[in-house]
Amino acid sequence: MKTRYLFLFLIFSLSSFNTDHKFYVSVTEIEYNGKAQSLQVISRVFIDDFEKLLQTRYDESIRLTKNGDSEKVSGYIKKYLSQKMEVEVDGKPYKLNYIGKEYENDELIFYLEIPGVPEFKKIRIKNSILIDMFSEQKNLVHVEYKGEIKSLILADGKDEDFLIFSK
Amino acid sequence: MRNFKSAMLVFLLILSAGVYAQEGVIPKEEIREVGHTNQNKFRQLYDEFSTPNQYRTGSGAPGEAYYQNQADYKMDIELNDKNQKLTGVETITYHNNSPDDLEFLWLQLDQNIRSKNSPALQKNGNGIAPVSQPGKFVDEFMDPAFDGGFNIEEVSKDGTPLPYTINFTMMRVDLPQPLKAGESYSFSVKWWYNINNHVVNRARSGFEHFPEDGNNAYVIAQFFPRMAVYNDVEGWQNMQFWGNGEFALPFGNYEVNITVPADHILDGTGEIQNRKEVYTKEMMNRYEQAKKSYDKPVIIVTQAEAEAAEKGFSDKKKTWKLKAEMVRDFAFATSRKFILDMMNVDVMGKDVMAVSLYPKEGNPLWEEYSTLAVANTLTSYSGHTFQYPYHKAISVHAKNQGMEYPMICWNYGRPEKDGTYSDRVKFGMISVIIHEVGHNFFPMIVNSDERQWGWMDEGLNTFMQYLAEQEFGKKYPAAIGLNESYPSRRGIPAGVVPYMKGDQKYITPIMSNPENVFQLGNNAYSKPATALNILRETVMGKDLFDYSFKTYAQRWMFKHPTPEDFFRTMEDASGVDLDWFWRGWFYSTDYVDIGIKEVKKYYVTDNATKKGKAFLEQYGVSDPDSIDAVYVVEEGSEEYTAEMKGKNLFENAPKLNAYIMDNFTPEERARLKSPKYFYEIVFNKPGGLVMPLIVEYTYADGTAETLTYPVQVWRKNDGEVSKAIGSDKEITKIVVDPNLETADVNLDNNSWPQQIKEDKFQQFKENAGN
Repeated sequence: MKTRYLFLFLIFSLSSFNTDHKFYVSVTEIEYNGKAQSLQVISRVFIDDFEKLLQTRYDESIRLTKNGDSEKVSGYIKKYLSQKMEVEVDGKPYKLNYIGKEYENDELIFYLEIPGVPEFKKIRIKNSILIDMFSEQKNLVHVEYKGEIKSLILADGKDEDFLIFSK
Repeated sequence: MRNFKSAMLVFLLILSAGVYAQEGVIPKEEIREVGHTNQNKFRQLYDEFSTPNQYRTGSGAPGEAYYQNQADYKMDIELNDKNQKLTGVETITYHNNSPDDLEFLWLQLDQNIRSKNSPALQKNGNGIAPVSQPGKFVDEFMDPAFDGGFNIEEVSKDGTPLPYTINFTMMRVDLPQPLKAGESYSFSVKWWYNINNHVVNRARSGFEHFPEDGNNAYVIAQFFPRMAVYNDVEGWQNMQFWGNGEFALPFGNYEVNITVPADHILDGTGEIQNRKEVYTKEMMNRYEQAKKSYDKPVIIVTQAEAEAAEKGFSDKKKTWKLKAEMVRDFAFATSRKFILDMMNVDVMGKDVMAVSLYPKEGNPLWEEYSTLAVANTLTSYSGHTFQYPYHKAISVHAKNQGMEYPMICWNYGRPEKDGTYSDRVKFGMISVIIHEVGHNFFPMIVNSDERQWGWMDEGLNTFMQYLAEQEFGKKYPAAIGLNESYPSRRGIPAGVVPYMKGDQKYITPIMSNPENVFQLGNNAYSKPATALNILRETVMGKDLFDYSFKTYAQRWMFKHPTPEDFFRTMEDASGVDLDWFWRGWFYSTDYVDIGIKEVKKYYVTDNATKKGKAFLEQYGVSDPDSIDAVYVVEEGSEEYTAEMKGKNLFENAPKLNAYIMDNFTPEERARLKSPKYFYEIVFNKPGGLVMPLIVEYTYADGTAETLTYPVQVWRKNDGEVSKAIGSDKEITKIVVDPNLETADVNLDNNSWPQQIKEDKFQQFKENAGN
């Protein structure tokens, strides 16, 4: 049953219409903190989209609430993000540490960190969050490295890409 | 004498390094730079704007020769619920009010975007994913596309076929003789198409299938060949429909008969002409009650009745007759699953029926909020524009939908199966209803060209939506729960910052066609809505803005405005030159970043300083003692002494005191300020947008004041501007844009002394207890 539901969503991709109001977007800001030698990641998704995802993927009964989610829900989120977000710096893969989440209006904000990252030239990012749920999902990624900001738009069919910094 | 006095004072107290530097530097050898054209951010928009003419004036109002053509429709439509097929015959009467003779007519066939060979299916580039779900792979590479699109059976005039040519989503009908200026022409089109499942295809119309009870709920729109717009700006607006640029449609009158299964409940654009035939007696009674109910909806078809009807699957048919005047389109919704409620709304003294249609899957959310949201939208929008001119507004619940038509719209927001729902679902639903009902004003009545300019309706409407949401929150405090105000998604300046500071590669100016933008939601909704909010709150002020915005709405009500008509009217009615604002916010992808570059502190002295002497020498004054002058010393500079700090103005500069004694009466002296602290603050502007410079000064005694320097401070130097301040209190803190009104993308440079960067990440990490 669950697979079929997922399947239904996946075949949206060929549609050429889209409705007027609903857009599937996430925004991730990755900033290199030279002092701490770490990449600090703040990722924003819409709560309703993410709730739908958790329900479809893991458990129909999940409700995201500002008053505190269960350990189980946090576990799902951690697991999901670790599967959908990957960062490779100068050819070397790094592990993203999930720090936590908070709610802001209709957005859910995730905090993640990659410690022990020396200065770099090339960063490769995969971000396929919510693409398994909404094939129109677009994941914007901004990377700030020594004051320079570069961006990627990741989407279905191209959920990873890289950026080069010359500073 | 008085003039001389004040001129002296100004001269003596000159603190502007800019002036000093200009006069002080004499180039050693002349280097000729190349010339340039006028790139000033305040230059008028003559290059971008069309030239005003007799159709559209320089004031932004319709001109004396303004015209618009009209299309009237008489249609008979039949829905086959068994095979989801829609059949129709229409007679169009087209009125050519233009001064031009037309050799042919263009009609829009929007359904053709779903035909098997539609080029729209191939409009996007895509890549091959290394791994695919089998289903996705089949869909992408193996599955035949849905067999949609119009089947045109006949185009004729009084039974005689007319030649026609179909070009994708457009159909040209060739006329035997040109349709002369001022004349009308009637012809008929016969058509059918297969209705798509809008849940699968994410389309603006179609049906949703409910497997539990075997029923379909139909939301039907763009369902008949519609006349394209012919006007002074585009000629025929026959730009193809690629999916994002919505509709450009002429106004007209509609008489539509729709035949559906006898157990369906239907409503659509226009007034139901045969209500007594299609409603039961009980429904009629409740309808009469609803006309008298101004505070809560009256249920006309109950959930129990709808659930009973779900099992009917009647083979009989029923025809609903609707009539609408001065609408730009026609749409309807029909199903045997529909629950129906209505409430009368007093819209500035006029009765308007707020109507909701929803399947039981929408309850309990829909019976509680839908009709109230409709009512609030009508009153809120009317207050800012014009009295809502139609007799009703309907909100229909359809899964994942958010789409607008005259008098009727489809909206999402569905509770869980057990009837529970989160705040997000609730606010999402109320917001989308406000947004889509609000579209009745823009673009259904203020009929802009959506195919060309998505922002003209979406941006203006999203801005109005923000105002209506905030009013809804005030009117129904119980509905917003613990929130301080209604949690609006778009409209707050800070909300658009992540978009505006993003990679320029993926940003386009608002003045872009909706097909050619990367992020339609930000481009056509958020950014223009936020820009208008900033214009209202920060640049023009509410009174000037509201009057001008209302003037625009009233000038172009039931007409076809262009962007220039909007831009010009906002200036025309307010007396505020806004070319700089339109140029920056609408024609460019520039962003706001204004900061404080440096703050210098000065003390006044009457001992000639080095800089002062050099300055005077340029004017041929070699002996400073021969002239009455006061000088300034920068704190920390060579000539600065610590004792200057404790002394007042006259102690530091006795000459100034003598001068004042000689030239001012005691009464005048009593009114003079005696500043003790002198500052020169250099504001810089790394961002391309010019904006009013809002600065909060905090003093040593803890008080603070906010000064707004007009945007014109940037007109001669787009990079930086300095301001001199004489104050009797020491300034301890300066903040640019303290209330985050301007969507400044970088707050790191907004404070003096520079704030330790408030690191959201670090803060969270610490609070998280790691």
